Amino acid sequence: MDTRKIAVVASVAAVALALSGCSTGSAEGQGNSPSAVSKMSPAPDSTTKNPSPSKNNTYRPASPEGPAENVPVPKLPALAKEYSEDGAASFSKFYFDLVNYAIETNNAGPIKKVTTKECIVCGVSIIDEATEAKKLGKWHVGGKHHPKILDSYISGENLAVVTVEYTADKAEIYLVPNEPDSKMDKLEPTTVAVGLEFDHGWKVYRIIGAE
Amino acid sequence: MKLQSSNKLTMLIAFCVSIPAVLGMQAPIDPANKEDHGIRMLPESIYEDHDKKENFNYKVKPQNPQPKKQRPRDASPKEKFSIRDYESCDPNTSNARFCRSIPEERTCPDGSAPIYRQVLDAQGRVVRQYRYCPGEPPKIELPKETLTQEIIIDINKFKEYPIIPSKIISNPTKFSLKNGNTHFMATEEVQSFSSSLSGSKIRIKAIPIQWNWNYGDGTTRNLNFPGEPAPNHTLRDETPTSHSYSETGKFKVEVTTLYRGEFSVDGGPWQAIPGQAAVASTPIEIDVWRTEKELIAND
Repeated sequence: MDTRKIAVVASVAAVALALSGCSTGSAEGQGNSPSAVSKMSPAPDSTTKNPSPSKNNTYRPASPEGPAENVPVPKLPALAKEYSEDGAASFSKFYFDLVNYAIETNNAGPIKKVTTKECIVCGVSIIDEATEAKKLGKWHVGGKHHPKILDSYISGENLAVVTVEYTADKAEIYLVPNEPDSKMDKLEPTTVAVGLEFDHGWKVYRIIGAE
Repeated sequence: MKLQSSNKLTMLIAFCVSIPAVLGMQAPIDPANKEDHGIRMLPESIYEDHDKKENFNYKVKPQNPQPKKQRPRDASPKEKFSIRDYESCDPNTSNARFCRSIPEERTCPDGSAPIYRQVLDAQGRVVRQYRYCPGEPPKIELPKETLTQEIIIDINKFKEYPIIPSKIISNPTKFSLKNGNTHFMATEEVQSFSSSLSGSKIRIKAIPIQWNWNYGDGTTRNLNFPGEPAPNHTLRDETPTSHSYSETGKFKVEVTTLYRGEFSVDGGPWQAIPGQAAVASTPIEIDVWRTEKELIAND
């Protein structure tokens, strides 16, 4: 095929791409709309389909119509500031609250503050993904992580290792309202060892899966 | 030259995907590996190919692929490691020091809980973690001299001790009736052993914590109690450990007892051994008959 034809097809494709958003996700009008699971009770006006921001500051979970709004920033529990096994465990739970916050808001600022650059898994699977989603204007519906702390111990000076088993809800990712762009299946129980270091507070330096 | 419409469609799709790359946009999905990704904690991401993530903030250094059965990283022989075993535990039955939640992960083939072995460097930073079942060989071989502390007793060493299985007692003993409540129980016995290791005297305790029943008719049940004698029991009476067969026939009844272990070195404090030893009992056979009449109580 010669270059002219390529150019023609390419320009047609580019137009088609621009118009359709090149969505290769599942078809519109899916049967099951995933529920955005949230600890807070939904605001009274969350069932309306109006995508415009709520006038007051009530939390509204994400939906196929639009991203979550007025998501409160998770607050560090007092116990999570302690240099102890319980403190490390509480902090690890809090860390997952920050993961869920990043999923809802694409804001990786809070989680970055308590993650060191050494943590590749944190960077690649959470922080960079959130940054990319923010750049592209994508939002997640669902995908919430549910952690269980299985074990916690002080492994060395100012160091702790916390074993966490977590699941993640299935998620749909949207670029355009009501058109799922991609999806992630529910994640079965997964166990990781979270490496934490303490310096006036805990930070995650590593997350390791089980081989 | 006219293209076939299906060819056109194929090409359109192909360009639809490749054009964004050409234009410098990031395609939401890489069709080559058809992987949907989003914000999710995925420990495996550490092993993925990172070439396509160049735009990101984290400059990922290519990880040295870590072959199994070797030391965790390019370590000089002087580098020291320590090992910590942790078992996925049930706070109702476990003595583990920190056990707050019941994990959902699948059990090992022998019915016991899988064990996580964490490898720590000399400072105490976690380096590797792997999951294994009792009886399996370790996935990472660490030469003895690199360990800061010899593993005194782990689950595999514990399993080498001659732990005696429970005995199954049933009432009635060899036969039963269809739809009758056949009472089963198992014996429960804490066992002690001693041995010496590297010049130290080691005492071991094996404590039964769970009885996994298989009634031979396709049903199984896991209980954290063995059952009690029921001397006045009749087939009409259900007990906490009885089973009712809905078909006639000969059924092989088995129980596997899970023992947790503790050890003490030279009379020191008892320390828990992560994991459980699954010990299978000798099966018994129950011959189930039917009766046309109603169950008759043993007068």
